[in-house]
Amino acid sequence: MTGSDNNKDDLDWFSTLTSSEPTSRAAEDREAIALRKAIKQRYASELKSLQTPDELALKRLLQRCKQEGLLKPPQRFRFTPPIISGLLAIAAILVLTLTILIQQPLNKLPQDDTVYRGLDNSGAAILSVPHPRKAANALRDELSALGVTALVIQSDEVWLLQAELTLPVAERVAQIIQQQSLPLPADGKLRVKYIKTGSP
Amino acid sequence: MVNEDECLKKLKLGGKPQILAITELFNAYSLPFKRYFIKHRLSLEDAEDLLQETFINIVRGADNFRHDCKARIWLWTIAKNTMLMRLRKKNPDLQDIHELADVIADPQTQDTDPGPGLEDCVEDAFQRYAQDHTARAEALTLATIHGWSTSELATFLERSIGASREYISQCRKLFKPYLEPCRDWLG
Repeated sequence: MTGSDNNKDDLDWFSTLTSSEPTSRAAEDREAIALRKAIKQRYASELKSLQTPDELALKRLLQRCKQEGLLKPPQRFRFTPPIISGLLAIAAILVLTLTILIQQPLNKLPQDDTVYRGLDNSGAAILSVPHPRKAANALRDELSALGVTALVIQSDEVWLLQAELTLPVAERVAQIIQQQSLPLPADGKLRVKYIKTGSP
Repeated sequence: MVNEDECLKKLKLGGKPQILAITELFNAYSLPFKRYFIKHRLSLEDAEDLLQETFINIVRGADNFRHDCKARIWLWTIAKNTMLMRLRKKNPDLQDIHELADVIADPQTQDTDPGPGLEDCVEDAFQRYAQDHTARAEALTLATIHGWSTSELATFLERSIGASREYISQCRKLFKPYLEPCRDWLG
């Protein structure tokens, strides 16, 4: 049997395992069918042995959502004449620009020896940190936990984190990125290079 | 049955729809998530704590859901990553849940009663496999229970389709020795 035959055989096995429909290969798939049955029985009995989280657990969850400001007020759709919308948009941009300009000199360097160095030729932000792998993985984990797919690629002693953010960037995601003194990418493509402090 | 896509839309709406969506998702997923955490050797207390953390991350992350995968897979990915973050706090060098669970085992040397029939024998084999290869057994369990395709499994594992096919092959290869006592039935 060749490698590709093996691979096909394995995929057929997986398909029999996960399919609720009987397959035409039923006779050859006794193992997968028996395994599917075993997994389903085992799963059902394990769920049965666990106590369903009670009303109190849900109440606690909703309470925490409230405390953390995650419960949003209901969206209201109102008609706003286009000219007013335009004026509001201009005003918002002006307020935002002024806020950024005023805050600029107050920006502090992050703690724990992290130094934001700027952008490289490809537009990636560069962070010089004592433990680049840990720092890249930590940011990836934080983003992943919020549903943002982030990838860390290592090349020599450089760890590149890449993530595609949904625009507008969610408040919590923006907070996490800004906590690292990273600029929010306008196009949603976050690229950060982590290098070890003291590397050339 | 809960409609996960609808729930994620409602989470973004705020107000009563958001609370309703949290309630629906919690009722549908709290038990399977709790089971999943416990299977990865977390205590009941930790699993319950992690359950709340997972739902908080789901509510926080709902705005980031891009509909580039099925909502139910996205929910499971959040649960897996939230658990991974917790495990990394205990063990900062941990890269993947597979590192945590896979052990070098010699399934053939174990004294195993093949049981009265093929199904009992396979069930016993899978139980031993799950003890030694927890993360793989869990991935196969979730795929079987929820009817995941290879590409859905790939999304959950955060691997390419090719790497996920290889993963399936490896899972099967590792399972085979545990099936040795069942050979008489399998022919």
